[in-house]
Amino acid sequence: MSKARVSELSPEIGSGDISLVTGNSIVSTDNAIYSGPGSIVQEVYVSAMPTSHLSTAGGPVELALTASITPKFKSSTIYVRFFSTMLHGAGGWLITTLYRRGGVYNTNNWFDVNSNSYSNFNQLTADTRSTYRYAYAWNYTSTGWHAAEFKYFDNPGDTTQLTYKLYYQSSGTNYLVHQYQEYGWMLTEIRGKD
Amino acid sequence: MGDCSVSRLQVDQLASRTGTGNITIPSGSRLVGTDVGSISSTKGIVQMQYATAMPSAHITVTSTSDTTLGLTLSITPVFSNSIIKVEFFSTMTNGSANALVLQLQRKIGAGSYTTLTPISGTRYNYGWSYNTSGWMHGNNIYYDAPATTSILTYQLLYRNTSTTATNYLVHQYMEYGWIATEIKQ
Repeated sequence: MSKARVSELSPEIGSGDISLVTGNSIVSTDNAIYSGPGSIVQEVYVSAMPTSHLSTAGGPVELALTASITPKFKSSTIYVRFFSTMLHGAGGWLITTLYRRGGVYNTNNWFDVNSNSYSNFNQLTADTRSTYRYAYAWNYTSTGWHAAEFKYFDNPGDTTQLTYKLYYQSSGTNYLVHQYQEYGWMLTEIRGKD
Repeated sequence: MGDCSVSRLQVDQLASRTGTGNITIPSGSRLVGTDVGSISSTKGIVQMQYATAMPSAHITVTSTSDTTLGLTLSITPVFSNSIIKVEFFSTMTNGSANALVLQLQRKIGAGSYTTLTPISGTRYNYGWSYNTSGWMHGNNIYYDAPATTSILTYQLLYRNTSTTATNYLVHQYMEYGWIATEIKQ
């Protein structure tokens, strides 16, 4: 037969492995093969290289590069990473704040001072400067040039498209990314328990 | 033979009809596993586990003796030959008061902790990391080959290199945590 229509697969006897014979592959054209809880469902990334420094002596400054992912499962965790191959925060401090559009936690829209309107983005790591979670936003850096990678585990609880955005601000002249150095996002969907 | 429709197919092996090639999951259909690692392939990710926390007070150290971090991470490998990629991160750490030194430990099952990254030795002579920088994010990575399917637990030891100054593993109200990724070999 050329096509088997089945709802379940199991070994011939009891439980155990179903082997895929060497030389064969199971292929999905639309990302539709998923293992159990804790498995990686998908990973998307976006990267860029600025032709001039991404720097500020104030802010907050909106980073134009965003990243989007559409979770396959409501129970999934999105492992969010932003990286800069050359970041500098020694001119006082540089802080970054992470935002997300989409997901079930979308009632606390953030007022975007740049567009003078509500952005539909949620602050995930609000810079509270107080005794709350993320007292100094997503990250606070006061050191010199180095490679940076920031991490966040998000539980959006929805399968609508999510978009992540970053803002950065500084107390002096600092650099999110040195010119002609790479930076970007990595979004990894980790399957939860449905 | 044409199509075949059954509610459950019980087989020990799958192969394409012509011997080798692709078995396609058609658009609109999904192949979904129930158990952890139920669909896995060589060099593929079997599972990823994580644990994060936020301290309501600074996690600091002034002692040159090891302090044990309360937050640990456990993972149970599906395959005995898997590699476990272990990561620890702090969104705001500071080691500028001399140095902040980290060591990674792992125990198998109910056994004792073994130090994987010692502060003296022929490998990892300064622990998992030796940080003399001011406030920044911290990321540490270790590839472990535990050769077991028993539960693994990872914990962190941290110390200062001076008894007269304070270093910060995690600033209060900032996030930190563990990530463990099982990679099939």
